[in-house]
Amino acid sequence: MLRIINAGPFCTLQGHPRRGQKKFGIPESGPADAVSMALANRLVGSPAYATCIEITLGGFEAEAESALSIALTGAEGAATLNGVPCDYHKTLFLNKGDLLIVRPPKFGARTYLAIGGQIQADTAFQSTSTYVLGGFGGYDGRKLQPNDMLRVDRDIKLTTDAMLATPQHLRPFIGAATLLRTLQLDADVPLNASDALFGGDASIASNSDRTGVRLQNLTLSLDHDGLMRSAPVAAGIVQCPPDGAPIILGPDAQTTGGYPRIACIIRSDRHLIGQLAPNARVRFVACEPEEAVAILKQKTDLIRTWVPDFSF
Amino acid sequence: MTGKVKDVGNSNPRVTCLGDDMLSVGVDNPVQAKFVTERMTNIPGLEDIVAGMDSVAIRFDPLVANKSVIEATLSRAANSVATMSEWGVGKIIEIPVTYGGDEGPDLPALSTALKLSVDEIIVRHTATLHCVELIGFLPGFAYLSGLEPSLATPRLKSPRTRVPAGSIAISGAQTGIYALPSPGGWSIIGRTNKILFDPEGPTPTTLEAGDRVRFVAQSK
Repeated sequence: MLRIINAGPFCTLQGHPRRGQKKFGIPESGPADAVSMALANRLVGSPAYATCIEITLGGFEAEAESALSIALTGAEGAATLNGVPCDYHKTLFLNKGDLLIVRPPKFGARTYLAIGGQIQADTAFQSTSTYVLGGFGGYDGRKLQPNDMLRVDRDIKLTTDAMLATPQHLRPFIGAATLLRTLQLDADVPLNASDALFGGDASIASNSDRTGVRLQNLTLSLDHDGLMRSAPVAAGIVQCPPDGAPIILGPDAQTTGGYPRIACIIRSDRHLIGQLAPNARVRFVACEPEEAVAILKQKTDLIRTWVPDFSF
Repeated sequence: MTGKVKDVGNSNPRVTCLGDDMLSVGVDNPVQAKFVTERMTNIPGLEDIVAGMDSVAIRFDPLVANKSVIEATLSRAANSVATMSEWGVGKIIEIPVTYGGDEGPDLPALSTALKLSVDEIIVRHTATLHCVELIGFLPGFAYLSGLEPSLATPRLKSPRTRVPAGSIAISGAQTGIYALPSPGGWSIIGRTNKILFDPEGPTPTTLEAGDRVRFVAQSK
């Protein structure tokens, strides 16, 4: 059992994306950075999409109420165990009374904290992922707050056999600038209309969240009145509202939208969106559909060498 | 929408790319969107189907699904004829609405803009049978056609950060129903106390595409 002392600005339980529910207007949710979550779960012997704690911009403090195995991955805010710095990408053992603190990261936005033995969470529409606007999934359908108690299904035995570390070459690089491989879309605007998207660096606006990452310092002028009949959208799609500031949709994005869909981040690069913190820089790199599938295959195969049940 | 559905199939369904794992096909109307959605089943690697007003999109796992099979199935389904009779099977649902006041804060401004009295707006909004074209945007949010044309109105200049659950709003030629509290940019004319989204219910949404809705004015 883990007692939350402080959950920071936005901390939720996330598990498998919620699929097949768009007909009710229900988005996918699930981890903003699926790769980091899978790596955390691997270190505590859980499936890639087992329910995990997604901490946004640090500010997290919790006390073990029983012996636990845990692991931290993703954005590496300084973390301490009973005041002593602790590692990311390694299985850690907590005894009753141990205090874990995760501070805001210098780079990246989200830290994943996995707990061995399966975190108990509400299942809604076949997924434990929290969707705060809908008020379902995760921990009572809301973000975590002080004094919440996270229970695990199974007690774990603390043996050093279970000590694991993510292989060095599989640890994602999370820095001040991110490249996103992107397909241009011609569903709503001509193919070259969004060329300026690939021109230079954009930066991330502070009003970004799990529904979408808003870009600043990059303004597109589309030859489009900016409004259309509501059309399907999904995580990874880049929309351009009339003000010309593109939005990259995230896992909690609405199911349909009325702004032109100008581009889509390739499936295997979408985990990077989850690490785009306010003021970080991002650059879009043009990619072709066939190339995107080849990259997806390659990246999936690589991650599966360590997390066998992983898929994007 | 009501009575205006074309009785023919989509002559040239265009399948467009929405990503390396997403394809979309154009449809003529929501009848056909529903028809296409129902036919996209038992396809390996299919992850989700999303209907829009004039298109249906499929998200799939490119490492499991066969993209050309999905493309062909989408195209074939969109090419089929959807008739008014298939659309007509939807339920007719009455939605009680308290118009104006705190429940419908934009009604006075709308009355001024449309040069219609508040009462006349209510009469016209309750007079027609509306049709649920789409559940989308947010959980349970319903887009309805069938708005009396004189009530058409543009979006609010600046959207509200929070619209109460049950709000009945209009934008363009449509009525929208907010099932959950959420941000919103439509003109709010009233509110219903009917529960429209219940995650615990046998079906989470009270309304589904194809249903017809009659708004009934309620006194406070």
